[in-house]
Amino acid sequence: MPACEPSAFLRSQAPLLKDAISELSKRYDYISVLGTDSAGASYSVTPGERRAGDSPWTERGFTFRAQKNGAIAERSFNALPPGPLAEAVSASLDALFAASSDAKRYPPIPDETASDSRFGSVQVDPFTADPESILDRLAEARDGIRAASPEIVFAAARAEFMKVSKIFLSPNRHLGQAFVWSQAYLSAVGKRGDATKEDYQSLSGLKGVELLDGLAPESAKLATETLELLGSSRMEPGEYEVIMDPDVTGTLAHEAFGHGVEMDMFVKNRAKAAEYLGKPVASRIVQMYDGAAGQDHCGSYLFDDEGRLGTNTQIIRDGVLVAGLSDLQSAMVLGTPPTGNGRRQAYDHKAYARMTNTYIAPGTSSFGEMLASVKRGWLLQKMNSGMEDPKNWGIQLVVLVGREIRDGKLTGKVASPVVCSGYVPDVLSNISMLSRDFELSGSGYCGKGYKEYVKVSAGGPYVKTKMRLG
Amino acid sequence: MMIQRIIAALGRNGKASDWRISETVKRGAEWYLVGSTLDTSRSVETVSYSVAVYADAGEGDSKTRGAYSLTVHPSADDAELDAALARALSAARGMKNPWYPIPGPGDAAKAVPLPANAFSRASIEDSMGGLRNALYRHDGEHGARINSLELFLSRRDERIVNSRGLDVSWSHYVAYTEFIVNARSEGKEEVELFGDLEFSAPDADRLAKAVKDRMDQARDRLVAVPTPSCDGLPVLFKGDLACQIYGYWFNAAQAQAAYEKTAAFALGEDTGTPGGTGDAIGLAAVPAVAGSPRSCPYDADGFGLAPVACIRDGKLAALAGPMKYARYLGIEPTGALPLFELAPGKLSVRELASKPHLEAVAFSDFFVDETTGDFGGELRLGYRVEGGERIPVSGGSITGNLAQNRGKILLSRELENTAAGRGPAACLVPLASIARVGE
Repeated sequence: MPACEPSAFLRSQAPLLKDAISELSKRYDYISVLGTDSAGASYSVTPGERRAGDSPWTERGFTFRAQKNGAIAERSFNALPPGPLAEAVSASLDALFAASSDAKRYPPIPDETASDSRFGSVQVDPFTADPESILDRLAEARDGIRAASPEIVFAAARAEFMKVSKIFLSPNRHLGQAFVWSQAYLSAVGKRGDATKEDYQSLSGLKGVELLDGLAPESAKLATETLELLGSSRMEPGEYEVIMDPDVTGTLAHEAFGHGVEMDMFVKNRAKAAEYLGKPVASRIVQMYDGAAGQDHCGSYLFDDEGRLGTNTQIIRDGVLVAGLSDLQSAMVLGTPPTGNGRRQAYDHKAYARMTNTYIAPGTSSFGEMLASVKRGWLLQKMNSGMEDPKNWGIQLVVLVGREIRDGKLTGKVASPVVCSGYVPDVLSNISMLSRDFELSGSGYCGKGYKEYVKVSAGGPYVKTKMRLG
Repeated sequence: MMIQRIIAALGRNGKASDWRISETVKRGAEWYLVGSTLDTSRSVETVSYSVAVYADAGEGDSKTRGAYSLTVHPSADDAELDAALARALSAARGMKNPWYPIPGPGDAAKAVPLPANAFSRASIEDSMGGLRNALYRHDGEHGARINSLELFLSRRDERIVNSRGLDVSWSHYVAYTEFIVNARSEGKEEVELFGDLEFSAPDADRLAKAVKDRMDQARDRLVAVPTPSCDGLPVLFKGDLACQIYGYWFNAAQAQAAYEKTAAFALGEDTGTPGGTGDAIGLAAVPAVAGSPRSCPYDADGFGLAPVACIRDGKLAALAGPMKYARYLGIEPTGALPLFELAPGKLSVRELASKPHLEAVAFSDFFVDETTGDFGGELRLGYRVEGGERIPVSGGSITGNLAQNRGKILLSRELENTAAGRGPAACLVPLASIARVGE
């Protein structure tokens, strides 16, 4: 089981960076540097074609963060400037401070002593594996979809492997980490008459090439489901009892509540949740968490992009909102402990309060019991997209598969796509059953609005509630 | 300098049948404001290199090509560079796709240069102040204000060189702002709306209007009623939402979509229906649209871009695509054109809006699936227009399918530019399912 090696490049640059931090600490009230050297590869097999290349998440660069008289400025770059590093960084930072004389003044950025490192491990190293064998396995999975029916006109298989390597240095903090996450997708398009439908299956985790071991069985599932979607119809819009599968549950937690408790939203007065701390927001059976240290999945890490150690935050306890997720700046303004949720899309992006692994804890019911309890409703599966509305607590989830439930049984009728909406407190308060199952999925990304994408996971059990569907 | 080092490393390796190097030098500034106060400022200066290596095998009709695209960091030393190229070429040799060419100097020649950009008259930092002032021009008017705003401006200097002697370069500016606006009034809970704008020119009036429009809409959301029953009403989409609808036809004109059989229409097929009540579609793939930062004179391979009429009188007559997919389909390459121009319809926006309809203005996240034609989203603001009344509504959702609206969609006579293309300022989609609040 090979461990992830720390980045040789970052190790080689560490002495230079430490010297620069030492020098810059004399000029600024606070100084730190985040260094990244993350490498990845992506592979795909599409009709008549095999493709491979470095992952678009590949990055290598630095961000220096400084505080002077309360104001905060950052300088990002990826080519080391000629001459003394401290001088070049200082020149840029001083220009920023000079141009932002009206900038907000923050309390001093804390810099408690910390020194730690963590290096993940995988079974099969994707960066020494034979690319051709990876493509062969993807081709086999793709062929499995395509062979199922002539109505499947397009099938593709994709895989991506990322090794994340980062260091964080400040006068008092020396942190390092390296780990691998991976994801694989199967996708299909079916056509029957005028109807065209598409569908996918995904796998993800802190894994290497062994992730692909689970791919072949997914081909048949995807083909069957795509053909079902070709026979789907639109549902009668209305409010229904719904059972969400763990994937949809995770997105409900993420979109309905996770974004709303990102505490930079509290600072901007954009989050209704700020008024509800300590108050009921969900059914009493709901326990909700987020944390880089809470689960081993795609949102896990030792430290965030502001050099704070990852934690596990219980957001909802017994239906009561008890805590939010903070980056460093929002924690400083609100006077709350940082939760290690300050994340950047890449070294050259700003850090925001972001989710990591977000989930609703399992309950005590079986899926069969939940199904039997529904008089007239829908089983919602296969997340397509979701969007938050933290200020006014609306929610939108788009799922690809809705399966009709009548008198406790699946009727076989399928609707696709299904837009699910509602008022967040209503949706969470109407949660009446949680299954004993628990699954996390990390095959997607999380954006802040429509940008700033970071890798996360989300999940939970099957959840029964009510939503407006259309 | 770095490009020469990469070329030297490719020479040392000696195994690439062809190669392409793309360099992007980015210099940018970013301001993050809460209310009207600058919260954090950032400066970014990066140099990025993307290198594609190609490995050929076989001869004649059985000739194959594999490719691998890698990122080369400016900090890479020669040993790292050699190792990265060896790894990439090893992977490329394992892929045996049908052979295709890469552009040569002659393929770059027909590029239409981008017009001079007004941002180049000032430094990035100086431009930021003017943009900020424009965006805040109407802040605080009539009970609406900017809650928070982010502003990004960068200059990108691009260069593409390849093993066939192609060497092209150009510069452009990429600007983006994202803003949240709030509206409040006595006895009402404060509401917000999200707005954003991609732009490539310092057009102060356009920026000020974008924010003002959103503030006006936020005030309307404040007094909006829950979306009522709208059975049978067509839906009017404007601006960026309409442009997302138009993406369905643009996607159908892509050579890659045709090759992979995911396009909604086949070459030669009519995008309408006999006797259809809607406007005939006319669409050109184009390299540039005024104000769009996605405009570019060359595609990612360095192929020079010029407009291509793809859908004429409703019929898909030509495909746009890079050399690879053009070769696979046996058609003339056009390069991968980033934008579209959609021809106007016959009626004015006013005429389109003269009959009862639901005007969709803001969604939680409006989606259009360009393959299936499915569209929809949760409605944050719309207007139910009927009997001379225009009532703001909020909540519920709209879903529909563009294939089911084939030949029935009406386009406005007025045109509008967006970041994705230039097209009718509004379109009227007759068949949609509207879930009212409280059903």
